[in-house]
Amino acid sequence: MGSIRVVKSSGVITVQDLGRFGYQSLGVPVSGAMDSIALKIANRLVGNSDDKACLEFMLSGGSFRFNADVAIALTGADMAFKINGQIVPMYETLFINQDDELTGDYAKTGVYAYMAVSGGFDVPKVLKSRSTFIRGRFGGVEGRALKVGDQLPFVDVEMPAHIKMPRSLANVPYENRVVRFIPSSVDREMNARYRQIFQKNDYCIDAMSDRMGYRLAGEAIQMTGGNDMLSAPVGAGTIQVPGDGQPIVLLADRQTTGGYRQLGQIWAFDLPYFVQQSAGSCVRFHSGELSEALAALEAYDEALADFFSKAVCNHVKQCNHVNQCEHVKQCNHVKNAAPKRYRITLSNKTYNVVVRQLNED
Amino acid sequence: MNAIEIMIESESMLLIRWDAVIDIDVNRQVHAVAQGIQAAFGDSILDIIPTYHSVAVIVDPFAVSIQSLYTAVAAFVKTVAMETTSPTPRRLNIPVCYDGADMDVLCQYAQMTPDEVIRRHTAPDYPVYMIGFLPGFPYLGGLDKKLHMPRKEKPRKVIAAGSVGIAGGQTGIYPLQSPGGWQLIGRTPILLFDVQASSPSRIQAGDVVRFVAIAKNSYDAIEKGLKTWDLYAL
Repeated sequence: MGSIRVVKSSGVITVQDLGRFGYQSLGVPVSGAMDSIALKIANRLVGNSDDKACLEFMLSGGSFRFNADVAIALTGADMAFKINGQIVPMYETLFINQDDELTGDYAKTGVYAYMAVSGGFDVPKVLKSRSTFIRGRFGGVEGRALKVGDQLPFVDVEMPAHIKMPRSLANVPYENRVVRFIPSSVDREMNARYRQIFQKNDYCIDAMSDRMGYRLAGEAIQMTGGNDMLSAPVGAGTIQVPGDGQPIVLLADRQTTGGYRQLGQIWAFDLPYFVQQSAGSCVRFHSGELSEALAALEAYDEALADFFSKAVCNHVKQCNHVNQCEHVKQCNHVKNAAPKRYRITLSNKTYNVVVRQLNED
Repeated sequence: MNAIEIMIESESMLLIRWDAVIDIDVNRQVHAVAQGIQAAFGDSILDIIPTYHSVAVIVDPFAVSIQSLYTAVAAFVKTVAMETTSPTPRRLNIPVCYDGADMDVLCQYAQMTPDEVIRRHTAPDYPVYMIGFLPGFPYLGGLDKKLHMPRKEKPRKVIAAGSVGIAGGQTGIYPLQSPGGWQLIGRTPILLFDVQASSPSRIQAGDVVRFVAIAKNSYDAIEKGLKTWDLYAL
C-alpha cells in the first residue's frame, strides 16, 4: 500500500471527507470539508468517488514525501504548491513518482486547499466517516491535525485518466458575490428589520474564526426580547446572532443545536465562497429564495458532471476510438497515457523530465 | 396533539416545529415523529436532529429534492397518531460517586448537607429531552429547584469524562473530556459515549435517567471492570 509522509506541517492539516452524517441526534458534529465543492472536484480529478478522504490544508500547505507512484489533484486555495521545487497547476490530475516531494506555501488566495490521491486516504473510519473532529479528538489521524512523521496510507488503484479543468469552470464558486441566505422560518416577519440591518452593512470575518464557525464583526443586531431562544437544530451556514449582536455563521465542526436566534441559512452554492474568505475580509449578505438557491446549486453540479463525463470520454476517444463512456474499461491505454516524471542528473545539473506516451495510431 | 408547523429551512434542512416550550408531552411527540420519520424515510435522509420542541430532517441536496421530501413528510406527519406511537421510555440507572470538586460550594450555596444534596439529586426521574452541546451530552429536565445554582464564573479548562454537574436549572453528564463551567458534584464510572461502538451513546433522547449514589470503592471497582453495572436494570 502506498503512503505519504509528513515532512513539515504548518497551519492546520487534517483528513476530511464529505462529513459524518447519521449521528447528529446523538450530538455528534458533522465535520467534513469546509469547502465541499473543492473536495469533490479534487476527488473527481483523480477518478475517485466524491466521498473519498482528502487532506484539507488551512492557510498553509506543509511538506510531504510520497513513497509510491500515485495520481493527485490540488484544489481550493492557491498555496503555490510545488513538486520537487517546481510549481504545479491546481485543478489538474498530477502524476507523482515515488520519492517526489510536495510542498505548499502560505495561501495567496482563499483559506482552505485540498489534496486528493487516487484511491483516497485510508485512515480508519470512525462512525462511518474519516473526517477529523479535533474538539472530540476522533476521526482522521488520531482525531488531531497532522504532525511531522505521520505516515498516511492510500488505497492502491489504477492510475486514472489525466484531466485538466479549465479555470473558468473551477473559479465559478469563488466569483465575487453578495452572499445569499434563505431567511429562517422562525420569527420570519419579526426578524425582517434585523435582516435589514444585516443586509445594509458590511460584516467582516473576525480572527476568532475556525472550522466550527466564522464570527462576523459589524453593526450589532440587538433583538427585542433578547437573542436567546430554546435550543434548535442548526446546519452548515446557519447565521445565528448571540447576545453581543455580532452574527456567527456555523460551519463544518458546528454543534448540532444552538440556542441563539437565527437569521437564516447561507445558500449551499455560496458557502465555498464564504469559507474561503480570510480573517479581515468583509462580506455583504442578502436574502434569496430557496428556488434560486436550488437552481444555482443544480446548475453548477450539472456543469461539473457534464465536464467530467466529457473529459473521460475525450480521453478514451484519443486512445482507442471508443465513443461511449461505458467502454472506458476496454481502453487499455488509459493507464499508460499518464505522463511519467523523471529526475535526471547530467553533469551535476538536475532536470525534471516529463514523458508522455503518444497514441499508437 | 399540539399544533405542528413544517418548514423548509434550506436546500438540505426541513424543520418540524411545535410551540417553543420545554414540555414533556410536546417532547414525547417530537421523538415519536423523529422515530417515525427515521423508519419511513431512513433511506433518503442523511440525518435527523430532535430537540425540545422541533425535529430537523437533513438530506443531501444533490440526491434528494427538499420540496418532494416536504410534501411526503407533511402527509406522513398528518397520518401519525402520535399518542399511540409514543413508545414507553427506556430507563437508565446511572451510578454516581458524589465526591465532585464543587460539592462543598453547592452545599454552601443551597444551605444543605451533602447527604441532602445526594438525596435530592437521586430522587427524580429525569427525562432526556435531547442530546446536544457535546457528543452524547443529555439535556435533562426535572432538577430539584433547591439544587439550582449558576455556572462557575470561570469555566474549567478540563472536565473529566463522566463528570456530573449542575448549571442553572439543569443537571447533566459530560460524556467526553471537555472544558466547561458546570458545578461538579460527582462522577460516573460508566463510559457513556464511545466513538468506537456502533451505537456510540448509551443515553438517547426520549430515555428517562435516574442517578444512583455509589461509594468510592464501588466507583473504582466498576471503572476497573471488577464489578459490572446494569444500566438498564429495573
